[in-house]
Amino acid sequence: MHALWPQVESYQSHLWRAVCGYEIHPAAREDLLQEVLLALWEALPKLRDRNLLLPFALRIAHNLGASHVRREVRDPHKFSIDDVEWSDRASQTDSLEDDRSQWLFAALNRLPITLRQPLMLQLEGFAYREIAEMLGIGVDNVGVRIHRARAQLKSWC
Amino acid sequence: MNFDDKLKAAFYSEQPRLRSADDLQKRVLAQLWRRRLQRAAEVALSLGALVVFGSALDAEKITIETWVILPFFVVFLPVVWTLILREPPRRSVSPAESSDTYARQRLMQLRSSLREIWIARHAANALLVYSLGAALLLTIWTVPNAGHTAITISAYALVWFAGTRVITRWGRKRMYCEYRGLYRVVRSNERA
Repeated sequence: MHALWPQVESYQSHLWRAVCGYEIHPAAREDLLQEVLLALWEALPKLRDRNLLLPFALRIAHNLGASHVRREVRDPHKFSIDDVEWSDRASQTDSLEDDRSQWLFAALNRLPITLRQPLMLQLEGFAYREIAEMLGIGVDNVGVRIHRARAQLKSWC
Repeated sequence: MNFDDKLKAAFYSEQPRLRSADDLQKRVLAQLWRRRLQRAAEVALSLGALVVFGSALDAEKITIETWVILPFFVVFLPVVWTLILREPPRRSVSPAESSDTYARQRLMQLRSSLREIWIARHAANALLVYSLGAALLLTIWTVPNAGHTAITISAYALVWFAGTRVITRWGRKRMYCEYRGLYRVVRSNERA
């Protein structure tokens, strides 16, 4: 086992959220997460700076996510973003949080990858410069894409 | 609560079923073993087919049967070598690269894989046509022993044709989907 592998345990939530941005179907999410963990296992020896494990792991997750062909494309099913409403009127309950989360990830799945990746990385708390390095694009471009992604999500609310 | 706060709250409320590092390691190792077994099975099947066809050519004197099998073998061998025995280059693309680099490398790899699928499908078509044609001609000419060989070859060609169609159909669709997605990423990065 690589020395950094135990740290991966604490990053499961980050990896899971990244995976959820690329797949709606729960079983397919598990498969994609498994694929990400395997790629991470194989790539860990290449990581030079151990402080950069999280961006390293998320880069792998987002790259494999971009390569992932969604279950609904392979095997269309009936889930629709319209199944979930974003409502402010309902009381703050767990189910409301679940609905919002479900809505958000369904909406993220509809966004083009070029808008989705910077927005998700920003929501994870990365700075524009870090996102630019992870995606291999310019810092200004990161800002533009995040702005467009937010505008698109707002229009779907 | 403004829009950004709602986004963050919704984003962070998605939580996985947490597993221990040992459990994660077990799952990863199990998957690694499954991949190795699958690869071993592919190689074993390919080598088995080579032995079956190769033994038919290993005769002391060249007969008409040899000439019937030879073209089949000449096509089958390079196709098997190209597609199965040579390690597919998937691993050479590291997902730890930046998204732009990964997308470009993966696109090249997908182009190569789609080309290989094209070769496999056309080779299967050509072999089926050849073996059925040989069977028909040898049956018409009633060449002793050769008719049976041609029919056997036709049966193999039919199985290979059907297998190739089934395996490549799903793989090709999936690859095209992935290709289109990554192509859009690369194009978008180039325009920016």
